[in-house]
Amino acid sequence: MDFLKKVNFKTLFPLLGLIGVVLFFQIITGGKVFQTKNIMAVINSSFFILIATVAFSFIMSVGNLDLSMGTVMAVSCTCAAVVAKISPFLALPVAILVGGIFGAFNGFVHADMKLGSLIATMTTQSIFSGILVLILDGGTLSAPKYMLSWNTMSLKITAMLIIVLIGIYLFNFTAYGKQCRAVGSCAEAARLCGVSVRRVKYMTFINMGFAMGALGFFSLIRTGTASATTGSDLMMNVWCAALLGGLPLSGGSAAKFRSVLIGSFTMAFLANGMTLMGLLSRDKQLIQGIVFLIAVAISFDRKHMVVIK
Amino acid sequence: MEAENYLLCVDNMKKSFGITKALKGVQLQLKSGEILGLIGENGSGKSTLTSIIAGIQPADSGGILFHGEPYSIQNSVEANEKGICMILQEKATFDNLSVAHNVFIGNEKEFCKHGILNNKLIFEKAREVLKKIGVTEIDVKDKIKNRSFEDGKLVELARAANLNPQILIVDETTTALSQNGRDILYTMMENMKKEGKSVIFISHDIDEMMSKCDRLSILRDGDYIGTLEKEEYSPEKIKSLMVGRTITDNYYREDTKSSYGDEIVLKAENITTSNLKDVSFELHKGEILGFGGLADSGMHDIGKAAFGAIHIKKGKVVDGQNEQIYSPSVAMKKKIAYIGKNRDQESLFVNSPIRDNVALPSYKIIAKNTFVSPTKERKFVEEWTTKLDVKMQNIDQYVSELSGGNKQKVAIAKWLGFGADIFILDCPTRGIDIGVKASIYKLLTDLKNRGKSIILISEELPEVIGMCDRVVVLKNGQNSGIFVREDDLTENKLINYMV
Ligand SMILES: Nc1ncnc2c1ncn2[C@@H]1O[C@H](COP(=O)(O)OP(=O)(O)OP(=O)(O)O)[C@@H](O)[C@H]1O
Ligand SMILES: [Mg+2]
Repeated sequence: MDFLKKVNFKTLFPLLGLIGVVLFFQIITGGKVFQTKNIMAVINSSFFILIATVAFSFIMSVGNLDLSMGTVMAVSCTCAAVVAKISPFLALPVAILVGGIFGAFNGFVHADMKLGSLIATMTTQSIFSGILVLILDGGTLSAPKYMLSWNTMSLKITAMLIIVLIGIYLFNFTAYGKQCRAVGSCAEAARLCGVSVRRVKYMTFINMGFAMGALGFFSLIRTGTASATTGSDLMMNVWCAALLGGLPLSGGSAAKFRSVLIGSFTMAFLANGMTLMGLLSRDKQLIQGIVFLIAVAISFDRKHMVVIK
Repeated sequence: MEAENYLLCVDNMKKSFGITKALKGVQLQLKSGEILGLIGENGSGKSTLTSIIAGIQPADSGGILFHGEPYSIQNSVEANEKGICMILQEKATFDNLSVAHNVFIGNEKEFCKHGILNNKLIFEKAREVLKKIGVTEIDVKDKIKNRSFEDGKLVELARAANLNPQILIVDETTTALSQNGRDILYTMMENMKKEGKSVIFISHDIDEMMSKCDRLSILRDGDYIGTLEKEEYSPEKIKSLMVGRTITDNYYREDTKSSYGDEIVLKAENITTSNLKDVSFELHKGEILGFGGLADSGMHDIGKAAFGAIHIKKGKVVDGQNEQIYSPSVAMKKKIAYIGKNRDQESLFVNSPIRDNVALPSYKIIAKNTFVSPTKERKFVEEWTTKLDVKMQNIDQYVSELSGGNKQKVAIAKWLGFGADIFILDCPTRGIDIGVKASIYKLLTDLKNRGKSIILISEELPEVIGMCDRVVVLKNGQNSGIFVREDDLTENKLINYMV
């Protein structure tokens, strides 16, 4: 019985949610979910969400949010497309570099100009999309055809594994990950423990930028083009994943890395299940909105919430 | 005396938190018109017992009689209405509200007309209430976050005074107050007693308890040990009842001569902050340098300034190599540690496990090539929490669940683990029981003997006199006298320079 008392059911909710979603679609689609082909499809659709949520989890453990991620990804994708014309092998490094620079700019606006992360990234998002429109000049850019052949399952699985492992390492086994949560718990106490709050904040946004850069590249080799709509549905999915997984909006030590995995796969199974059911994309949008609402509702710890950032 | 004759009577009260039995069947009797002391080691259940009486949390079992009748309440608002009011050990003011709104929190209705709050009236009334308890320097329009920790406590006192309770519970508040703040509290308690009302008073200072309390109830590890009448008081007896064995009396440093190296390790040159004017001092290797003063003396700014944690308007703080210390992370690189007074907001992450709290400044020591090994981290944290005898379930317990004194021990453990060369301690023994206090003083002496330097800022004059090689007295933000350790240094001598 003592064991039962120890388990905090609230922390189990996300996992139960994931199991619930999987079982629901498994029954409704008559067992299609666990077919090998479909599992591949799930991995495919979890790819973008998972990688972005890994990076986003650090921003959230600081207690921040990011509204600009999709746009950073689009800009990186576009820059990758531009340099791919010179040499395709430049595409990935340039995309990551561009993402990092834009992430650093987010860090600057938030940590140095001292704007709340929501307002900061809202502003930068608008600036970034302005830049995007300038580069694209109203059209789209396409990558050399053969780059599409890079888009293989094995590359994606490798990339996912590497990034998740790096994420776990940074999150649980380095001072950086722990400092992020310390800042999220109480920035003033962290500062008085010698944590450079500014640096930590910069790092979270720069890393987010790197991840978005990488995703920009993967988006390019998947679709072959960069356009103004690249990455536009990413943010909603990532926020949903983070909240469904149980990452707290207030940041701090309640943030756990398993939330990233649980949340991302919940979103992936959800999207996949709806496709299996043959839903149209406009229905999906509605359902995703509802899921988001539910995610926010369960993740808000109203009892402890003092202010909403 | 029969139970009906007591104002408040607690019987066989039990309370557990998971596997921790905080109260194991405690009783307590409070008469009308008395000040009852409640004393016991850290984690003995004092705050738990009194917060149940004040309706802040429910008991598992056990009964309370108030005015001879069963007393059951759901929350602290109901307790207030019935006339029981508690000053918490922790901070209980709201940062973003003004002093005045904090005084009347929960009672805004009195100032409302057609749903509109009459702020002018609130400010006026708050000024009145504060003045009644003897506080005049606090601007009622100021936000609490711009006021010191002590002012916050005084505001809580005013809030309680305004409610005019039958029973006032004062949990470990004196150590947050300087001399003049304490006088305000004592006067308030005496006045209540004169009016036939009662006070339950909690403190770890035995002298204070003996002089202020009419009777003294003792708790040990969740058990009720007994109650002493005033005639039965003696420090030895109280101490041995508290800890269950006799402990030696003298716990300060034994030598009476000041002693330290020639090398200067830290120097403040004419620093001016919002609370300090042109203060200079030098800290030597192996020296314990004390700072004392009244609430408005600005002494708490000394620690923050020396740690680079606040903005210095003029002057600077430099280390032995004449390099400036302008931020906490620079200070830490120079092996300086700082334990602040405002524990829950500045020194600790209360909503994090003990493990994260203790390890945070020391990841550089624990980590190997950026890798923080969980086993090594655990060993490190366990080593230091054991050294300070933190009463906890395990290191993954949340700090918010610890008793006040044990929180303070965690804050100290954190910086001892960091292994600094210079320790800046602002009221380090706040809320700590005598047993652990003795071991902290011993630790400080050891540190000194190993050539470490210490800045000790404290409201406790005996502590400053007992431990320091030199004592700087501050008054109105200025240096008003420096005293070197010697046999005949007395509290009165220092107080003369404070006021
Ligand atoms: N919310 C809680 N969750 C778990 N344990 C708790 C909680 N509150 C108190 N405790 C435990 O109950 C015991 C008694 O705590 P309490 O705060 O009453 O001690 P105290 O006598 O006030 O000590 P101090 O002098 O340090 O303030 C401690 O061991 C403490 O860890
Ligand atoms: Mg207590």
